[in-house]
Amino acid sequence: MDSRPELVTQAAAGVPPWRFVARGLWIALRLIAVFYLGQSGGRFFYQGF
Amino acid sequence: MSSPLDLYSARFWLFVIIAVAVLNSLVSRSARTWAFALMNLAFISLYLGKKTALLLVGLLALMPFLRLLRSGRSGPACLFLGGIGTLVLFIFNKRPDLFVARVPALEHLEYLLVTIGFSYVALRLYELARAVREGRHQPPGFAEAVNYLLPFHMLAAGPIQSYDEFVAQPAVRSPLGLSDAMDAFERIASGLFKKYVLANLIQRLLLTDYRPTGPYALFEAQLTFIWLYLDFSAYSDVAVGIGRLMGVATPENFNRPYLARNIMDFWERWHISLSQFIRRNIFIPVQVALIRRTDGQRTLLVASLAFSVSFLLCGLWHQISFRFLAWGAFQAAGLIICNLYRHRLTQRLGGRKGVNQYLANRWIRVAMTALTFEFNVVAVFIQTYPFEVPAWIPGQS
Repeated sequence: MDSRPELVTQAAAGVPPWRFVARGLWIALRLIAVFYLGQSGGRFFYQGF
Repeated sequence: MSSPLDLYSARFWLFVIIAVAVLNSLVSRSARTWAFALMNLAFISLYLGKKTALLLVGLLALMPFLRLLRSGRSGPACLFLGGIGTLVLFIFNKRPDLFVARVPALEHLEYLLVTIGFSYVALRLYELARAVREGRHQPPGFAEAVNYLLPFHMLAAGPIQSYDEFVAQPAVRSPLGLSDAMDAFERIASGLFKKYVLANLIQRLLLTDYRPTGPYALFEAQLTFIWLYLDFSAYSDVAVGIGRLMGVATPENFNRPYLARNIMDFWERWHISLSQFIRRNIFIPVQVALIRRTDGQRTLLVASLAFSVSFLLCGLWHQISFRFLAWGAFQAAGLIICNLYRHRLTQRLGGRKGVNQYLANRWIRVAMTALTFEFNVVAVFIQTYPFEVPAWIPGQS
């Protein structure tokens, strides 16, 4: 029995698992960019509204 | 030590992980409500420290006040006093220096009063009092009041949830599936990327606080509007993503504002929760009151006055200063002109069908979208350009 019911459901609905994995990688890539390029604080116009 | 409201703070994300784990492990409504309330108070305590005890006293005092409002025995004076109290706290949030200069003892309570008067909290407090006073909802219990007024993931930059929407959320959430979790992570990653990579790079590499003049100043004005969108909408993305993970209803705040075809359309796409708050609590009440006074005549004049009152107050909500009053007047002027133009167009083209055909033209659509974009570039320019303001104008910051 597959222990990943969501993946099975998505595959059954026509969404191939590789797209799910690709989406995860894209999320991870953006978070890595945030970690390396981002910095705390900065100017936030709406802060304190 | 960074503020707990800073999305780059490790403490904030530790809090999110704990909140998601706890709220997803609880099934009953009351357990979830109390767990979320305790987490919200714990989060606030990171900010207020020992003064959280005073906040608790204030929240406990709010309970009988809301019951009094609901009982119908309070009279308009009670609502008026409550409104004045909220307004004073709100002004304290914006300009604590004005109060501390006169009563130095307030300095010890500054953080606490600033938190209660914090713009988003003050608007929620008003919304809650109005919903209870009008009999739309029963007064909330203590935990519900905490969860509505101080949800930790919406404190930094909203959205401003309506009390109707807060009450309407399902009693028990459906279990968090992998697909839902993925959507939520995507939203959070997108928000963080927008703020800490895109907005950050634009700010560091291209924004100069308008030091160069000439064509670059025009370019910078466009960029400032784009930067503002990336930075501000990022907070909403993160709040919506965290809300999905926790199973706490968190309204959308932006809907592709750059595609707006006119300034009215823009305010239905930008800071949506604020414009809906203004519509519910300022525009419609003012419009209804004026229509009654004028026996339904002069609808255009009434709408124009309602736009003016709404956006002048909206400007002052952003910041109590001449700059933001000018910004509010500019937005109101845009909305009034847009409304008059639409009225004239409807008359000239023989009704709504003719207007829709006219607006369906691709070139007109492109021109209107570009015009709306540039209108908002000017609005942001008013907000951000370092004007030299004469000393006789009060409230500059």
